[in-house]
This record gives sequence, structure tokens and C-alpha cells, in this order.
Amino acid sequence: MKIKDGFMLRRFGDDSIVVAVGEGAEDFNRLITLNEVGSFIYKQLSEDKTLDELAAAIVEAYEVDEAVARADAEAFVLNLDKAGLLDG
Amino acid sequence: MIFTFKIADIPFSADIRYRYTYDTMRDYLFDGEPDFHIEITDEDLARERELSPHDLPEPMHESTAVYRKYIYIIMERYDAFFFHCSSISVDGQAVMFTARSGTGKSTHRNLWMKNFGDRVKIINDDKPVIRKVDGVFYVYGTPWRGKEGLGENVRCKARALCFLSRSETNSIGEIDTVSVVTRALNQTVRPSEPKLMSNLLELLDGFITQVSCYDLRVNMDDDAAITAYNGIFGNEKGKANED
Repeated sequence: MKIKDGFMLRRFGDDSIVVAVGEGAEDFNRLITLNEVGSFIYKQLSEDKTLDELAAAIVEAYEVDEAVARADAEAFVLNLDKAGLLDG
Repeated sequence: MIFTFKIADIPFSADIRYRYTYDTMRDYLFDGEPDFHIEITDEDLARERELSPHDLPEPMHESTAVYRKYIYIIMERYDAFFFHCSSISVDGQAVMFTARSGTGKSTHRNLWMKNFGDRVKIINDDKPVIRKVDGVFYVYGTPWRGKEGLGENVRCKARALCFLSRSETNSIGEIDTVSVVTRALNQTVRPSEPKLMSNLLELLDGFITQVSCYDLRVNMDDDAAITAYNGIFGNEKGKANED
């Protein structure tokens, strides 16, 4: 899975905001706010990644347990998908 | 007919056909060379008619069409953006109030005028332009002044932006960066073109580091304006006016 085309992430302080750009922008009026870990996962998903790969990246970056990383990744991915940002 | 205007210190010409548009914009007529030209086509007018929630006379659509084209060009070329708010100057510094419509922006603005008299002037009551010039953010009056037609052809240094909501008691507090940006993005034209969007986000980033942003909760008593004033200017009462 990866982030669909047509979204832009911009960092403000510790958090980030995702906005829609391009052709889809008119249908997607919402703004999505991400915390630091959220932004990290979002950036990972600019390229196609599996859940295992995401969890591994989180473990490496934040030195957390594999199980915690996986749970975080899953929860985040579900939210991204619900918000309509994910492809595949 | 083609006229030249200067809005937010940006000169441009526009081909307009209705007297209403001319009258709306006449305070901004400019005798000089335009940087760019705006042409309003039948398609532009049709588009405005479609976008408008109300059945308005065609001349009003022309005025809005000029505004829309102007805004997109200045966002692209001039480090500027439009912001839907009521903006006043207080001792020469701009204070902006933004809120969902119906919250009582005009009521609150009137409380400032009542309590601070001549020190307060209306810059623009609906659609001022915010522009960064030499690293400083200014609020500019524009011809698009809102229902009551209030505003002037002036510019003032941006001092504060208040997100207004109604409350039983009056309070003013800080607001976190991401909330400022998301709320601000809901009160401006959001371009879909990635480069323009990126410019806008960059500009907002600079804006919030320079301009104090507040969560302002108010009722309709005089104390509302006084609480807000003290929150914004509290530490420097009596300081000399700044341009």
C-alpha cells in the first residue's frame, strides 16, 4: 500500500498537515493533521510498503518493540484508509 | 472598458463591463502601469453564478470574478493570500477576527470601535489581502468589503489574528500551530495547483511565526473587547504608535 497521488504534507512545528492538491482537491476538502510518528509513517508510505516493512521502519526509527510498532502502524494505516488516502 | 487599479500595492488592469464593478473598485483606481491584466469572460460570469449560493444580479458576479482572478495571480506571484475575516487597525496595527459566519464578527468589531473610539479603524470587513513585503506581513484593504461595505484603501502591519467563538464569559488564549493553520486554511481560497498550495503553506508558516494567533471567546459585553485588547496588547499599553 501507498499514499495516493494528489496529497501534500507540510510540517508545522512538531505536527504536520496533509492537504489535497491537483484534480482530487475539489472533492477532498478535509485537512488531516499528523503527529510526528504519523508524519514518519506517512512519508514511509510515499513508496509502496507492506505492514511488516512499516513496522520494521518504526522499530528502527523509534526503538520500540516490534509488537508496539506493528500495532501503531496498523491503527495508523486503518485511519489513513478511512480518510481515503491509501492506494492498494 | 479597461481600467487600472492598485490593490495591496499591486497594480493591474481589468476589462469590466458593469458600473457596479467600477463603483466597487473606484477607491483603488490607479494612474500608472499595470503589472498584469484581467479579462472577465462570459464563462467566468457563468462560473460565478454557479458557485454563488444566492441568485445575485450579474454585475455582482463580475466583481467576484475580478476578485477571484486577482487572488489567484497574487498568490502565485506576490507572496500574498486572501483571508476571510473582519480586520481593524488599532493604533495603526492590524487585528483580524475570523469565525464561521453567524458567530458575531461584526458585533465584536463594533465593541472595539465603541470602547476604543478613534484608535480603531476598519481596514476591511470581509476579504482583506495579507501580503508579505520585505519579510513583514501586512493587511491590506480591498474593494471587497462585505455586506456592510466597510473598509478603506490602507495597509497596516499585521499584529494579531483571533479565532472568534461565542461564550458566556470572555477569555483570550494561545492556540497551537496546527490548529491555526487548519482553521486559516478553512478561511481562504485553497488552490488545487500544487505549486500554489505549496506557496500558500510556506506563507502561512511565516505568517504564524510573526503574527500572534489567539483563541478568543467572547460574549457581547464591552468587556469582550477589553479582554481581547489586553490579551493582544497587554504588555505595552501607552507604547507609541507603530506604522
